[in-house]
Amino acid sequence: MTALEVTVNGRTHREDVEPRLLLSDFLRHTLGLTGTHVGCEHGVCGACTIRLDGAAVRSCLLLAVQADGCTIETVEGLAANGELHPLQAAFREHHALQCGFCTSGILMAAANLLEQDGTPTRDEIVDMLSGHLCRCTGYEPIVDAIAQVAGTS
Amino acid sequence: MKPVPFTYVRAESVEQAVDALRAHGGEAKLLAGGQSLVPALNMRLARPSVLVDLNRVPGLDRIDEENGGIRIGALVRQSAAERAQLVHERCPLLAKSLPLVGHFVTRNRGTIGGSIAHADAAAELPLALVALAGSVITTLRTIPAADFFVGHFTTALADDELVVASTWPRARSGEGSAFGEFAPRHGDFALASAACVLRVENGAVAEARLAVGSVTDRPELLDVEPLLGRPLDDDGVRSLGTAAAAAVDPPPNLHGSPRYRRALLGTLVERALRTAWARATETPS
Amino acid sequence: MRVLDYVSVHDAGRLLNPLIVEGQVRGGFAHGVGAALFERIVYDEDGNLLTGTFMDYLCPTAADVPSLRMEHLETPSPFTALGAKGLGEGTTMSAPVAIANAVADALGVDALELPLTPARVWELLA
Repeated sequence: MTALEVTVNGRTHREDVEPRLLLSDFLRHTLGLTGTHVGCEHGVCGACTIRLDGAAVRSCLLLAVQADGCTIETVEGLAANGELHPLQAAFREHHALQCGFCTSGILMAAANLLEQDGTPTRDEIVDMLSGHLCRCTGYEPIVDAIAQVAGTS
Repeated sequence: MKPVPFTYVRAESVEQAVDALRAHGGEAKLLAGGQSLVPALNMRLARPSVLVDLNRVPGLDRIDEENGGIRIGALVRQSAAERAQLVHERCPLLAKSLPLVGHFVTRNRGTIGGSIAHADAAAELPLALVALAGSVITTLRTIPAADFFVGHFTTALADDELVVASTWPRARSGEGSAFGEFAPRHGDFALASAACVLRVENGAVAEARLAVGSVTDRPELLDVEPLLGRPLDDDGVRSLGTAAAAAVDPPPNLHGSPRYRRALLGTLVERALRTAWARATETPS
Repeated sequence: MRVLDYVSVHDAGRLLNPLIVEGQVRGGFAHGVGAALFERIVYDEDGNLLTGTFMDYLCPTAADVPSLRMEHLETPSPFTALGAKGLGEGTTMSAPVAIANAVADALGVDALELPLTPARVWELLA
């Protein structure tokens, strides 16, 4: 077992973990943060996307031990003080989720994209989104929601 | 879909990583961005007994100017290179190939050195490096890109040698480049890919490099002699496209027969040549 | 191959929640596009599934699902209290047919196998 200290959504956790434990499983099973979803476990579907020191990354492609000393944000940390994050509010308004399985990963990646490039074009949003599989929405409402927050709709 | 148990070594220096490789022989694997290795671990296609994590090794995440070109540390994230002004200014072919590597989120984690060391035959960065006649700097030596890639997932690296950086020559005046690939969807492994650099002098092709990937087991340079010393014309483009398609023997793939992949390559080579020529002739030489 | 335009018209009776109706149509359309152009189950000679991961079994992504125009007819059902009919992923069935027929028309052929991958369409043209 390896000692691990991470700050997740502002709260510091100290745990002993097996090196082979994936960060996605650490978040879900060890910390109980099941908002991060596990779809394919080989880095294709994007459902497990979280932010590690600000960068949107696939948590199924990281070992929990690699996050030692890092700051993590998951979808549970997106809404502040009971107020939806602007992306969450826009997703609700545009019906950009149905089953919601892909939503948390997309929200975390979109938050990263918007912070990095405040006004991504529709094409840039689609390009980012192409790393996330959604089987319900047909994607267009998701693009609409992100574009609205970016002010590029 | 979980990795087998392994011993985890967090290397704090290049020396420590090399020591770990020496201590464990072929049983150890290096972990950089993990965007290819961790899926292989999860699917148990890779079962190393020791994993040496390079992510905390200091000093490998820099992009520096070197001899007018650029030197990119092995741990530079693909997304950082994609946004680096120096890459766009000095190395437009690399700048054009980076957005084709995986997706926004995987580029945040995937590294330049990892992609090079992994040496997937369909990967963009090895192809661009060979087309540009760049080099791979290891703990032991400097290896020209064309000699570094030996086959699919196979490089010239020794068991105890690791990639420290790659060097990418600067685009010179009168030079134009193009990168083209065809993948079933954006971010998928390409069925065929081509990268081309032309330098035009007095209205004629003075130098040319054309590398193809995905259809071969490593990036391969094709003979471009017929293009030299004259302007690029339709005949030259078409005959090189045909020659490229005839020169390769791609294996069948779920998404395309060898015949289809050869035809794709011919088209991609033609487009790359035309685009590189257009870019070379629009910049003042 | 590019889908230039796609119009979907459904009669779901009285629309109780138009947002959900349009969500179902869009989602069904994406499934239909997947069936028409991408999704394929392939076995080797020994019966091993070759498309068992999302790396090999291609679901359409945001870059692959074309824009969709939607219209609604509202003929109230006489059999339900509110006049609503069902509308669950109806476009899943119509989109592959519409796309295949467009390709058949463009190429002048009448037998096509789905999905219409670039490789298959190229073979038809070659």
